[in-house]
Amino acid sequence: MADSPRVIVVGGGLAGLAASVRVAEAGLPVDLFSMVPVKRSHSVCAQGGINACNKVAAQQGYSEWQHMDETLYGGDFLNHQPPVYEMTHWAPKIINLLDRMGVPFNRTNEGERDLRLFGGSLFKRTHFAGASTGQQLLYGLDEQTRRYEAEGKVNKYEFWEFLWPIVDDSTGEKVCKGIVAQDMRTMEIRAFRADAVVMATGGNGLIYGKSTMSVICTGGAASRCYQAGAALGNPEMIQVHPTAIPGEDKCRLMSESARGEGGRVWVPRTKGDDRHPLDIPENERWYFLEEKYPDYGNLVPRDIATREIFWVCQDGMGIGGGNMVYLDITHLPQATKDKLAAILEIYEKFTGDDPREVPMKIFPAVHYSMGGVYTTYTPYDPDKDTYTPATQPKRKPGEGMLLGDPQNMTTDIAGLYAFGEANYAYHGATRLGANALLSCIFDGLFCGLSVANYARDPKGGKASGVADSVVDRFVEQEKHKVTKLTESHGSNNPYEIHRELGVEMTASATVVKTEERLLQARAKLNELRERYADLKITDTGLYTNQNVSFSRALGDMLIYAQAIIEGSIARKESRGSHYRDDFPDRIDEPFHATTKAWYDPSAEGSCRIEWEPIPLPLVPLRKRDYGAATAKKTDESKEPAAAK
Amino acid sequence: MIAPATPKTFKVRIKRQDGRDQPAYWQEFEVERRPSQNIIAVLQQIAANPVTTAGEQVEPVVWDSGCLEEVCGSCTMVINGHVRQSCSALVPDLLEDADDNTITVEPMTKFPVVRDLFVDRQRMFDNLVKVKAWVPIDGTHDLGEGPKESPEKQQERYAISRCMTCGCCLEACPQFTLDNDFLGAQAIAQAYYFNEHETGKKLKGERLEALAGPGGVADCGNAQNCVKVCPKEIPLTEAIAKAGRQLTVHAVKKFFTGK
Amino acid sequence: MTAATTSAPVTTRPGAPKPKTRTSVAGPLSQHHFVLRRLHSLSGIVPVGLFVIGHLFTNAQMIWQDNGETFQHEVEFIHSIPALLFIEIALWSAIAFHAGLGLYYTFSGKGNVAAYSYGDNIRYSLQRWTGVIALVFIFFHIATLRWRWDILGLWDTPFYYKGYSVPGMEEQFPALANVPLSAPLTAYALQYSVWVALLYLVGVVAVVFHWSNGLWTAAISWGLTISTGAMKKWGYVCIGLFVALMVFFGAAFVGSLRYDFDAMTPQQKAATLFTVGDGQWAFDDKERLETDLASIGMEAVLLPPEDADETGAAGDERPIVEPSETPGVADDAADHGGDAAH
Repeated sequence: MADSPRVIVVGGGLAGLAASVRVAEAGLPVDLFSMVPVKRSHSVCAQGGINACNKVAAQQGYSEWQHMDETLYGGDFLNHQPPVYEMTHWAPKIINLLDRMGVPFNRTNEGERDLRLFGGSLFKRTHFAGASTGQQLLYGLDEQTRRYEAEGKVNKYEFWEFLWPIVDDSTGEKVCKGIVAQDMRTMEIRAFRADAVVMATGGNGLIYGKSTMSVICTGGAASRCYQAGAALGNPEMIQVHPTAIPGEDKCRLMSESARGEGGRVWVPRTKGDDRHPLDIPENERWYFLEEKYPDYGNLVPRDIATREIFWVCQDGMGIGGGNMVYLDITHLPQATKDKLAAILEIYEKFTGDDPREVPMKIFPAVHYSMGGVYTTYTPYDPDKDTYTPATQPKRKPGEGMLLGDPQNMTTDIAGLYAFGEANYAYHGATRLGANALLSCIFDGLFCGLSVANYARDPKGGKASGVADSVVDRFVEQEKHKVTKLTESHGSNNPYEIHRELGVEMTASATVVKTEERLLQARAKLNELRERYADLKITDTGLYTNQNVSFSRALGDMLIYAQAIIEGSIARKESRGSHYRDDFPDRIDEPFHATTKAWYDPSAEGSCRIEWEPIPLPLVPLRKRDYGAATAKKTDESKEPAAAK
Repeated sequence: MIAPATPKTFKVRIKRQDGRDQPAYWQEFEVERRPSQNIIAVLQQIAANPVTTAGEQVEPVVWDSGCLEEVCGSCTMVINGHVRQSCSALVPDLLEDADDNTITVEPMTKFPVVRDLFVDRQRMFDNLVKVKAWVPIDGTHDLGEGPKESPEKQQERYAISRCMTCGCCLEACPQFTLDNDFLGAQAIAQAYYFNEHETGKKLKGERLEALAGPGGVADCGNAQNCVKVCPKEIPLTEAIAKAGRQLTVHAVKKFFTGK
Repeated sequence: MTAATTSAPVTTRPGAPKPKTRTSVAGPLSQHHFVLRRLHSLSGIVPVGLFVIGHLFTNAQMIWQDNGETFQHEVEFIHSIPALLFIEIALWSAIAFHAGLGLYYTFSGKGNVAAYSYGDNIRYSLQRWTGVIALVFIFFHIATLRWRWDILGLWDTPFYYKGYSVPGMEEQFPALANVPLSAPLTAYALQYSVWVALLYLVGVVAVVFHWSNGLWTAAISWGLTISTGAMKKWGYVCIGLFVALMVFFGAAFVGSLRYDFDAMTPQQKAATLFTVGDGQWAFDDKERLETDLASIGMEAVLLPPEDADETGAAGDERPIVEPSETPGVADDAADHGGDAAH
């Protein structure tokens, strides 16, 4: 046992827990690191559901293939096809597994799993558990992890922060042999050797200041891997949700069903009109969506709504000149308001205003990072397939990934994997609703086996055999960073730098991007990095010092932010969530390619961009243009589900 | 909407503690009022500029938080004397029934303080191990669908499954203390939750044995604070009663059949 | 070098604060935790609870103002039960068991009514307080009335101040001699001192509350009432039981306060003869008392001082007849005595 291969999983969300369960099941001990108790990971926030072709939809003509097609189409073909093929074909199995784990999926009268309609499909293919599917799925996996923990197969390190991957390049190739981590309570910094490391560290919403993400979603861990030599893929691809409730501390989602049920979006016609919304007469309200899109009105597709709201506020027409517009449901009949009760209560709980009486104030907010750590995979090859029984037909080459192959979802550093939102693999340029939960769990379960297989035969020998000097170097590097931070008596408040970073990134690199604005952001980031070098830290103690943790992550956020900006500058086209006002069309040549961003301190924005072409083995490119009729239908189709 | 007469600032009294087993002390901060401000936003404001009303520059307050949407369960604190999630504790509401335009924020008292408002709730997770709060599935391989379940049963289980291990029920429970071994509403409800799943039932006997031991369900004194402070409105008292019924039946069966 | 060790399996969570050792009861108590808990619940409801109901019902007979005749009849019936001692021992054991565990359980929690003043929580704390009060009350009640303890003289008890005796009574009325005669004793005590009256009031309210509230929580603990609705409905039933028992007690209480000592039969007087430390008689009419005693060939004799000392009396010799005021209530009772005696 002492010399058994060990696997480290960083992050305890859906991807991390699924990976832990799968690796433990494969017989390898797992060390699971998380900044928070794993049950509190950001996956709990997902509300909608999880997609999978199911037996009812299958009888209506739906298929895993179509699920894949929708995902590729939604992602504007920036996603690799084999992984998406594999994921969508695994989806029904994943639902079954979660079902067996006891996740309380909503049920029909016959006791079957109930389904709802979701964006991007005309079939009911979304499974859900009340209004907190992410929470329920996470708990299902958390419970299984706890079971393995009780059996001694998973060892949790909660309240430990991942600081750096231990990268051994003594053989000429970068190979990950463990991590350096810090106990956020005692501030102890330690090295943990491992034969394989899985980064399941989620998104990076905090780079945008306020997003819909949890306070732990700094992207710091991904940034550290990036700085250690793993490339990022499509860092510029950030999903923005059109309607969120801006708060002092974060933005909270407001379901689109509010618009679906007849909610109207407006701002005062007069700039700077600071009257109470109910005092503004009808003819002095500007229903800008209805005016600009008389056909669809408030029901325009997500990206258009997002951009329009954004533009109105950029023009200074937002409420009080700020970044907010009204979403008004006060005029709706009581029955409709009752139907929306669940989401209206969320608004009331966090703002203190009753949306039945006073129009809601909303604004688009950063919601999901499609981009992330670059990962590769081995496409399915019938000759190498050792899992399909000889009696059964094998798939065609490229239909999926090769199960158990150590390459699946590995980064540019051998032995370092990236799963879930932390990687870039499945969603391309836009993520479809209810696909995120699927991709996270799929990564953990499918690629978990790859990790176990790799750990049994790691490159460069066993982690236990790595020279202490290699490992100690990283520990010293991290200790030095902490010392430097606690001895910072400069003049810049880290919270102020973070605030400015968020404002800058939100203004330049979310809904609408232009070359001019991006260049401005590039300069601003340089300025912020300079100021970061001269920090003022108020807590200099060495016990549960959140100031140090935050300031350290801030430095990493700044570097990741630069990659987002550089990627956005380089991609001179519009694709999916990436909308360049100066290049409003999709330009497949040369941009039907992955933005591969390498950390390079000598380059502009510390970032070197490469374009990696994307093969199209399964589905040819086609124009992403939800036909007008479809667009409307899709949007409506979401309503019954969301209003539940 | 803040009425014009409302003061522009308010005071926050925070109970601080530098570390485990260290003495606690109070500090007072003056904070600017902002729209839709919750306790987390207040703490963020203080963190950005940690100066007390006495003008003393102090170390920023340490606290625990996560989603800020009341689903992760991280940010439980005792605010104005009541335990709750600080992300959904809005300043105007808190000031409404506060004296002297002051809000008090304290760490939970039923868990050891790590630092300031940050407590160690590991006991809650350990209790989940004690009651074997999982479904003993055969493994992750594709073995088809899970057991069917009626919508009514799903609704009952879903309500309990929303438990986010925040600890409000335990903080408010007079029977749950720092130094006894009562499992409390959270773990008892979870035990019942898994007993009600078709596959989870396989461990029912073991769970009930855990509930029969010291600190088990029989220790509940039915003060029923848990159900009143639960931010997820989980029917905890019903779950406790149902666990009690299962245990009664189990004990009688065991007495007569010997197993 | 220590920092760069391999991640060997760790048994305790590194960096986690040390868990505090929690108090847990060793041995059989923890082994049979659940059974003991259920027996605790059961012992409160069935033997103790049922006895209390019967007791209160018997006491309620005091309301008839018939000089305790109905009451006495009930008491005598109880005392005629064969092997009463065993029943008593069983009851005492049940009380001791219930109280012992109850005290332990009480101190395993910590009330927080100040912070969470919900009704149910207040009752949680009350259940524990009333348990303690009931225990103290029951102990004194039994010790003084049944065992005729004079508790260290601290209990300046009016129940059986042995200032006087009626020699020969025990031979002549053996049945009476063994009867505790709680009714007149208690009645006198209640009339004698507001504090005793108050103690009985508080004590019995505590017992009755403890029992009826215990019945409510037991239904949840045993899993009989599992829905909020059922808990509520059963709660009304328990309130009903509380009220009914309080009515019984009220009857006994009022009956006792209105008890007319002078209307007792000579035999009862002989058996009940007592006085109190300051020389106050229970009987208004000294002459009638003497006449009554004489009619059955008896005479009250002052006990020797040392005997009185032993039982806690002040050593002073007091005249046998020193008419003085009886407590005011007794006066009223005397006025109405005739009306009620039918």
